[in-house]
Amino acid sequence: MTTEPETGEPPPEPPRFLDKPGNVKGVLWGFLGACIAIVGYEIYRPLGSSVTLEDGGEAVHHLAERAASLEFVGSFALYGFVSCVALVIMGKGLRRLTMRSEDFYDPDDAKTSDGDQKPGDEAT
Amino acid sequence: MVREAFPLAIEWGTILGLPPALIFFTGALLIALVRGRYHVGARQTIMILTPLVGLWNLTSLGPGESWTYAVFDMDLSLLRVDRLSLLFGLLFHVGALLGVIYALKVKDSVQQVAALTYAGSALGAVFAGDFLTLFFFWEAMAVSSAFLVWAGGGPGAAGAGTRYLVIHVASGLLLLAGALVHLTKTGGLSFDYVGLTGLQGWLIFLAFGIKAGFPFLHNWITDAYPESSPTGTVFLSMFTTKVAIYALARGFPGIELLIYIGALMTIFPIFYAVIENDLRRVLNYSMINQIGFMVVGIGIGTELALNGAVAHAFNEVLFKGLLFMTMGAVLFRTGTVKGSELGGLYKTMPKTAILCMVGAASISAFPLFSGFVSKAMVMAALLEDGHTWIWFALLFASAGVFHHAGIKIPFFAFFAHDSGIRTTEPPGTMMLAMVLAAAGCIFLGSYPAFLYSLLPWTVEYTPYTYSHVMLQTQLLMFSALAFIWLKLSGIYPPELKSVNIDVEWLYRWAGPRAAKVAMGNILFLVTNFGEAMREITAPVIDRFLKPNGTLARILPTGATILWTAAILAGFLVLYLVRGAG
Repeated sequence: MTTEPETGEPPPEPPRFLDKPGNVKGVLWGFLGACIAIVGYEIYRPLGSSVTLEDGGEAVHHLAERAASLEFVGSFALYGFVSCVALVIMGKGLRRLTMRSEDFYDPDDAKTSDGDQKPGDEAT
Repeated sequence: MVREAFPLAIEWGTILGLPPALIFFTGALLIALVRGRYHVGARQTIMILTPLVGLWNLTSLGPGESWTYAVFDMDLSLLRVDRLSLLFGLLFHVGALLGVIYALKVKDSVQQVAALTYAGSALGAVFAGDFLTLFFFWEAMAVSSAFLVWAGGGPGAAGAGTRYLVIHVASGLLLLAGALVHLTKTGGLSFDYVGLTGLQGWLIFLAFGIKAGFPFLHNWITDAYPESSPTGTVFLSMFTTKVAIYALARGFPGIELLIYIGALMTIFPIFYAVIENDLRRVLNYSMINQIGFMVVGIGIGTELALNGAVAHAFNEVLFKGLLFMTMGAVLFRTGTVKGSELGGLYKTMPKTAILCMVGAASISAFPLFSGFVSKAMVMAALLEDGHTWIWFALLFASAGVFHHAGIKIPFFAFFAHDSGIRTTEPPGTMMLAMVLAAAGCIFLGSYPAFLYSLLPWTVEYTPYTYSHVMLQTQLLMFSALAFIWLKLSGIYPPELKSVNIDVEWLYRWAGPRAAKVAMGNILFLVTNFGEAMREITAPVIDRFLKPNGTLARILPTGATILWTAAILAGFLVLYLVRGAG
């Protein structure tokens, strides 16, 4: 008696939390809420409200206490947001200038940094 | 004010107290002696024991200790111990230990010898008390680390390793030339403050700048490191650039030019990092960005800034090492680190994903993670010194580094679209090294007093104030919000199979073609106007080569070495251009 080899599909994976679009949306809305909350908290307690300490006669350095004079409520949040948008838009512009095909330098020997490594095959 | 006692110093008597490089070189020699497939266990034992014995030895070194030797009539120093060299000594021992654990499965004795020699050379460089000893270890680092690049084995590894070696040997020649001019002018070779005065200052500055990855001299990092093996890149990320930071902190503190160079280093790589597809190359651009913060700190030159620079170097070895380890694990298991080919790996490599996010949080300077307690020292020093615009530039760079290293790396490797790749977590030793590095990142970020106690200069700094935590958290959370918005709106550039040309374009594409055209023209001239050329060149040759000609004169030894170095450098440039073509 011979047994037929199993040729069926592998068993389906159980869906994970992030496989469900609803959960992803929930995480993103939650994150947006946290962003709003942290700026809201700044209205309640402005930056620079902590007291600069003196320790043994030497000034304790406070980054944000000094930076506070440069800011309005949510200014660093705005700076972070605008910086990243500007970074990506300028990065896309840079790509137009710099992007080449993968074999640009070695057309006869398509250069890939890892293309010849097999999974689990430490080249060592 | 420089503090004297080092908190980790233990009184062992006179048992050890050796120059740390000797221990690593001995380890490398022993491994070379026990080559062969039957001695794998013995080599692994030597690999682990070497940094451990080194650490034991390090605790017996106290500030003020030295090992001097004489060459001709010059007193040279193999060991100069102070708090600055001890901090980097400790850092390199910890880095070597983590790298060795990560690479414990590696059986290739060439890589093992190269790794220990490389770590030992880096230690030799930071404990060197004079320029000649520094030069020796500088070049030893270059040669040994080139083997780690070649070990990558891919189609690009051979060329990248050769280019890497040429550039680093050139850096060494500049250092040698600078040292000789220094000797001529000062009569000594002691490696202390150099400053940008005179030819020697600029030569040494340029030599250090190549190793530190100054703008337009940075390309060897992004060219060579991504070509190395998964384990080799981890070692490479830990030593060379940090030796350069050490050397700049000792030789050029307070040089204002460094503030602007460093600021440029923090800014330009983040644009490349956004569009780069190879995630290890993204990490290399991110490394240049982080080194930029350190260079700015050295340029400011106050005690707070210098402490911030070296503290950030300490932290960077751990968090960048961790990130390279996680990407190495991905490469090891999947065979690629291309963003365009990865995604969804959190399903089968969840622990690696979490460890990668710890590294990402650390490099992004999230509160409670290591980058937070060191980067801010440089930022605070900038404000104290009145460099408000540079401060804003570095704040932009801080948001940018979170964008590409903090979000892009873990997102495109472990989340994003499901690539369908199903694999497993890396082997236990790789995982152990990653866990230890991650634990270090969290420990140093949550208990900064430990790191601060190791710093060379006396300064009080309190990183955890309400305002600082709030500022940083807002900056980073809204950077993440921008990423989400850009991704959902389709503005974010997709990961594409491509390369982005950088400075290497000059010597890998334009240079060889220009040289070919120039050579063609020269050959044409020589062929057609040979006689005329001979008439033109004969008097010139006579002038240089006849008795008492320029090249027939007897020169002092120092000048001869200088000319030899210049000729070698010329050959290196020719080789670089020709080899790249």
